[in-house]
Amino acid sequence: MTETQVSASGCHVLLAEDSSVTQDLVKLILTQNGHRVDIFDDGPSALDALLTDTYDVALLDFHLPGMSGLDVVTSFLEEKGAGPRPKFVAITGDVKGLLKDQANCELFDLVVPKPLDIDVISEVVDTAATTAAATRVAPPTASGPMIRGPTPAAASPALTAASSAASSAIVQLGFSLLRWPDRERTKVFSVSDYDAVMVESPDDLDGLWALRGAHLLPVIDLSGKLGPSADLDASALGIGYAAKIRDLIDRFGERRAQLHPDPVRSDDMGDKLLGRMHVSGGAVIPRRDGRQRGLVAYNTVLSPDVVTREVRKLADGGFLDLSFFDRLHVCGRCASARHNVREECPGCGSADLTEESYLHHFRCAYQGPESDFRKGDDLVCPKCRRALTHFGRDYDRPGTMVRCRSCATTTSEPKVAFVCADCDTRADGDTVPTHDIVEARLSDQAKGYLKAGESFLGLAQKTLRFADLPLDLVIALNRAARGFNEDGTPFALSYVSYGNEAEIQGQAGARSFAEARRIFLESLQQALHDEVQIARGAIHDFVLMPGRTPQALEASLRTARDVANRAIRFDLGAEFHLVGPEDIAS
Amino acid sequence: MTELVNEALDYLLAQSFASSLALFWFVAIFEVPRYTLAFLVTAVMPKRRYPQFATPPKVSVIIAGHSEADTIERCVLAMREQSHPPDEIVVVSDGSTDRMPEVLGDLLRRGLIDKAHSTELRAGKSAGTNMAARWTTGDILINIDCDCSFDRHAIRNIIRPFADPDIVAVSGNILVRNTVASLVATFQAIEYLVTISLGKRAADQLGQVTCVSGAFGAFRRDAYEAAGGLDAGGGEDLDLTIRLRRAGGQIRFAEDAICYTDTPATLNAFIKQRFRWERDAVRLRYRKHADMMNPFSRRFRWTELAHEIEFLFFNVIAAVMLPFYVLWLFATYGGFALTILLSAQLGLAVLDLSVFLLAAHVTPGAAGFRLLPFVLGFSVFNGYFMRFIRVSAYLQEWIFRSSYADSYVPDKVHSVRG
Repeated sequence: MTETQVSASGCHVLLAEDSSVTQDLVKLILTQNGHRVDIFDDGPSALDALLTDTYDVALLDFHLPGMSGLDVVTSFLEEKGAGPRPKFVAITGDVKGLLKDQANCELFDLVVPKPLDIDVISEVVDTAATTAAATRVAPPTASGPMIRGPTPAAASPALTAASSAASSAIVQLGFSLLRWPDRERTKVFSVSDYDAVMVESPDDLDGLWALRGAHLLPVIDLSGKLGPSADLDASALGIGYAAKIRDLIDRFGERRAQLHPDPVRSDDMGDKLLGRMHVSGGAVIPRRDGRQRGLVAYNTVLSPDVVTREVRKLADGGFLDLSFFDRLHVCGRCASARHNVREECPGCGSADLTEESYLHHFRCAYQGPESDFRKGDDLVCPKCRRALTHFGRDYDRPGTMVRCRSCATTTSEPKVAFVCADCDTRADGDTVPTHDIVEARLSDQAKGYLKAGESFLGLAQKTLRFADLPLDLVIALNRAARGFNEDGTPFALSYVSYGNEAEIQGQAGARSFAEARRIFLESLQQALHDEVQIARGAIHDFVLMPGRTPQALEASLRTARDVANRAIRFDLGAEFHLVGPEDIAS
Repeated sequence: MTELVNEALDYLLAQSFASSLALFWFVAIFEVPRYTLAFLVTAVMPKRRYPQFATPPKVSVIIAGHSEADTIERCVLAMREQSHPPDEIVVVSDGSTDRMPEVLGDLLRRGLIDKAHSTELRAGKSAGTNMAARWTTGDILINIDCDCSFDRHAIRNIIRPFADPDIVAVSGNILVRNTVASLVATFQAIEYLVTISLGKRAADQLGQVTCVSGAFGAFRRDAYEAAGGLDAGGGEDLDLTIRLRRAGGQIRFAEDAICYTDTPATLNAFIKQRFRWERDAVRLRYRKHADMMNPFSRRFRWTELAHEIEFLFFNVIAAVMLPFYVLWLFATYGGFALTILLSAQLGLAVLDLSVFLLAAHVTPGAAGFRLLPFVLGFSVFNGYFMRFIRVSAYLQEWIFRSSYADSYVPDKVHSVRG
């Protein structure tokens, strides 16, 4: 135990979990973050500890030997009654199964899906730590459950009868739906708890995007106001709606599963948009929409201004392939694209223009506006005073011009002006700024990023994540972590990146590169002897050396690399990035 | 050839005054007086001086062009470069089939021109120019061709004579830009220098300027409107000048208001152009304005008779008499006629050269001395070839009234105009 590291805000955490791998990892991470962790293998011992000691958070595997997590909580509440209680977090591989029972939802504060995402656990405990102080001062109130199940809440009064009928019809399909606007304020949200978002009124949809992961859910529109921005318009349900909804939810779920946790966890709006593009089919597709100031809406509920901005940024980074959709004229003052486009007088700017013919009198070569000739019903040439009687023989009309009724200016070239419908600003047709709207598709780089996470973009500037590690390494690391937790035995981990990967693959092919990499690792293993464990990952390879500090490993790695490099034909550009126990939890 | 020239020279020098007059009467009558007159007037009479403007007049430039998308911008920019920039520029695109209307819109938006009108059907140069004039607000209208280029002081110099209130129109000086394009172009460069730069200068001194060139001319607006502007096509610049003169206005030539134009560079194009000009000239003088020659007409004026006689004598009769003179020479002297013609030409060459030198001297912008080697050739070209063209054109117009079919004027206008 590293009691010295427990800070004032640290939590006392109980973990009831029968997998030793999970036990050690969770303990390593949480203690590094300054929490105290007690670990129990089975239900009864966990219940004993809960009753005798005080915990801030209890992480309970749902399926425990002896008694289930649910039984532990139930028994605890029976014993303690309404007294102070820890935050109960259920760990389960079957979220839906757990949530089916209304009672469970009230017992647990949060459900975390398996396989365990160590970052989610971290966050939950950290959140509990910040609220723990407050809880200690004031007596705990019966705060509502932090997670909303698919309990059909009473339809909001704003809903029309039709949409409330649709709403209940959809709810009856048995999916877990996030109702939006979320009047009950979901505080901790996990995307895996839900199948879809059901929008009842199109307010605060940007708030939906603020919930981590919510943007990856299909949007079912009950209001009928979102148009193609929603993934399904359910304002009027037709025949076969159930199949449609099931299909939609399946499709999104499948595509969500393809995503690497990095872009899912990220709070960056660009990452969110990429994720959303992936689950909804790989593109943001603009369309004209007069209700928007920008005159454009996209196939997502995020506000178009944000989409436009993020698309530009992502495209600069090479994440999107763009194709031109339309060029809009935007107001220089308020950036609105809603304009009245009009012809106006170049003299006075009035739009009160009227058309008039030119008349050409052949005989005397007088040419001018018709009004020069007009004498009542007759046309009389102002130059030679002859009456024009025969079109085509005496005269013709070689064209039309425009006359301003305000200032009598005439021209054949009226000015084109744009008047902003939102702020009344007027701009000349040739000076009004334009803005190109594009349709964007995920580039290969973006697809790689969504699949492989940030490691795809180069690990040098990113921190290591457990999700990236191969399984055999996790087990070895777990052992090393236990050693570190028990008696402070150091360990060193290095991951290996190959700077010349793309180059070699381009020149010699992927198989040559893979072969070279394999030989390099074997040579490295031989050069470093048996004291290290080498694991092969998808993008990086790993070298773990228990019992040594990273500094010690670094020197031997360098000499080993030179040996290994001699064994292969290519220069792989291998780089080592060293990590110690302290770095892993950061 | 040298032998023939020597013989001709000997023959020329051997003649007494009376015998040479008997032989060279054609030259003596049709060539010498005209040259001498021009020479004397220019050399002897003092240069005109004009008073200063009390208030500078408002100057409007009018341009009517048909499918001039490529040249209009440069032309407008040249106007904006003037030492006395015009107060307004009005452009009419006369039924252009190219991008000219769009180019005008662009110029308008950039503020380079003040008014632009575009028609879809071609109406002809006259109607286009008239309409451009209709939209102007200036006191002086300057009509320019947009394929010409202009000296920086062209506008300043062409409006100067208007300080005299009797002046109603001023012709600009037109020089040839493509002097080295071909031999025909070079000859025309010499011709323009002699007939326009020097010839109109002399005519100006005598108050006999009869054509304000359509490529570059300025008009007092009142007079232009009173005359009704240009009449329907073909030689409309000559026609308007004659009408302005007959209304009592004075016309001037500003030799220092210089504009450059491209002349037809091929013989074919040159002949076509001259046929058109000569046909128009006789049509206007002897059909439309025939009463100028009639002392009993109400509109007869003695001052107009002078330039009518000049034209009749030196252009029409000289051209018509030339074949008779040549025939007469051959009939009388047989093969020796060639020698006589050659010696006449030698004498003429001396005259031509001195006139050319004077013209080049008084027109500094023309770089005339580069043309010097071509003067002898020009002398033959002008003395024989151009007269041949004139006679043919006169005959054609007299017999076939061909000027009524020029493609320069739209057909719809031909069928009705006077």
